Amino acid sequence: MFNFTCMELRRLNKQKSTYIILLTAAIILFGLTLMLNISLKALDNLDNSRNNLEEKGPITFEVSFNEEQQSNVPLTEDKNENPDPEKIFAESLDEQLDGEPLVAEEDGEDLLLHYFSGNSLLLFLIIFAAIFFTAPYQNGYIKNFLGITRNRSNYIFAQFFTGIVYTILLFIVSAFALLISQKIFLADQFPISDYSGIVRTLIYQLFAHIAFLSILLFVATVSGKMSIVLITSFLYYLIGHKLIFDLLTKLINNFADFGDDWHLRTYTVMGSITQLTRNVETQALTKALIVCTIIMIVAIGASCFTLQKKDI
Amino acid sequence: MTIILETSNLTKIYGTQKAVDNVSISIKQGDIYGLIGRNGAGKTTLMRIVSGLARPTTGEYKVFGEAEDDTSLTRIGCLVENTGVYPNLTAFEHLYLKKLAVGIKEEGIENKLLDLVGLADTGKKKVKQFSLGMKQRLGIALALIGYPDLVILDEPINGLDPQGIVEIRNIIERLNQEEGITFIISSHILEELSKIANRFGIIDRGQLLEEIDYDSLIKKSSDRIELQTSHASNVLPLLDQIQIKDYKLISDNLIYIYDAIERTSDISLVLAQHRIPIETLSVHKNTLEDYYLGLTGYAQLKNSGG
Repeated sequence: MFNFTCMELRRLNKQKSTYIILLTAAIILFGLTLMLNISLKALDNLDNSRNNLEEKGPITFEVSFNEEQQSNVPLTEDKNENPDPEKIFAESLDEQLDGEPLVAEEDGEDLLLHYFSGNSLLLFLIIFAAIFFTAPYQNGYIKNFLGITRNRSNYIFAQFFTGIVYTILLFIVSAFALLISQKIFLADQFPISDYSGIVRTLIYQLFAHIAFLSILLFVATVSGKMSIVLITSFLYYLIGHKLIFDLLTKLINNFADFGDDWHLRTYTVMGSITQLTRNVETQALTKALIVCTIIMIVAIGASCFTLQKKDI
Repeated sequence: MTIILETSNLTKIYGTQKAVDNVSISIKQGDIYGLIGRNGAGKTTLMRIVSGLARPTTGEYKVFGEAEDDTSLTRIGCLVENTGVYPNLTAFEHLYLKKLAVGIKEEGIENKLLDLVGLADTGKKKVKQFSLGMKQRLGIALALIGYPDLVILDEPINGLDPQGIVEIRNIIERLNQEEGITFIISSHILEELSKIANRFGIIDRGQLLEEIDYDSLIKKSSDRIELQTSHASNVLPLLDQIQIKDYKLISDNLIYIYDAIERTSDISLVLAQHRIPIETLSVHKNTLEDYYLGLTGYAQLKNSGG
């Protein structure tokens, strides 16, 4: 296993995509923070304009009408009857975020951690896994070395270990990009002070993301094709996760009553990632970690079994 | 000589199709074993099984005298089907990765092998810019990483130019003679295979039709005289008369005469004395291809020009 791990780490180091994904993640997260800053400034400007208008009193228009139009048109416009631009912006932002508020509480820690608990980093992890895990199958390089061992699980563990290293790198790069960008653009609005809380939550998130990586490794081992890993993972990420588990939850609720708060999604890796916020309760934390551990063990075990039985 | 690889009733079934059907072969240490068969005959599947990339449905094989499950397969190098490469890496990096996988510490083995297969000057050129022949050479170099005792090469001269074919043949011969490496080689270029291999396995529709060594093959496909005449039946007593016994009447006007290659002048003389017209009198040299086609029943393809 050690030899295979050395080989995979070397390959990770030599592949351009490794660096491109990290750089893209950093740029996007940096850009998102910048955009948030611009949006907040725009909201401030709107707010200031409104205050200025309020100070000046009701808006009065001088309008001249011809005789036919003169009948029922009010000459004074009441501000309260106009749609509030800030409200519209907030509502549209809220709609775009699928009902989830951008920041639960107004502090920098939660803003930073939102990108992790909001499953955003999974996108980069999916792209990495699709490229890295399937490359030996797709290009056929695996034929050069897999025959030298009886226990093919060694190779799965080597791939998984390399994936963990990459996930750690992705977390470090993303966290630094967010920290720096927040310091630059949002230091006043979202100050960060609880660094230990951030690190602790990031470690939980890292564990959950590694569990998701194990599922990607399984899909890559079974299919051996980048396109299949990308399509299935993105479909699950974008649509399948909510759709499947919402339907299953409704179905189960028809037969058994687990209470209103019960949802099957909390027993998935993506559901666990969403739960692992800075203020997560101990019970929810334990549950999420147990769910991730079980899924990880099953996925790695299934990957080992698949490769062991697979004809290359 | 020690048997290095022995298969016993190996069978591989994909769905309902038997890709390999009860194949039992034995390969001795130091052999260059030529595996002959048309496309889809089961050569590659057999090679994949013995190189540990696929599992047999039934049957077993022993490498280096040990049962499959207890064998360390690091002593086998293989190039099966096309060369598996990462397009964006260099030839050196490919060898370095394989070196790490096998766990070799030796410095400079990559350059040594690149030099051996004629890729020493590729430098930082990425494999995606390689020609098919260069990829084949890289595949052979990859198979040789780790000083294997048994090297399995599936169509190693595919895509190589004539000069490249000679070079690869020389490399294989040198490694076989100097390092004692055993080779299993499959190729469609039977003439090329006949120049290098000392044993042959002929496989068709998944079944091993025959295992034969080079000397026996030469004997079996021995040269003959082909005599074409309109009076073939009158010729036979004359052949007996000049003490030629090993002949065969193929048709009304064609006789094959064996073990008398040097006696064409005697034959023509005796026929001339008896005023029997000769249409053609030629020495025919049998090739491995002829032997293979005859054995597999595809000889009519050649005769019909197909």
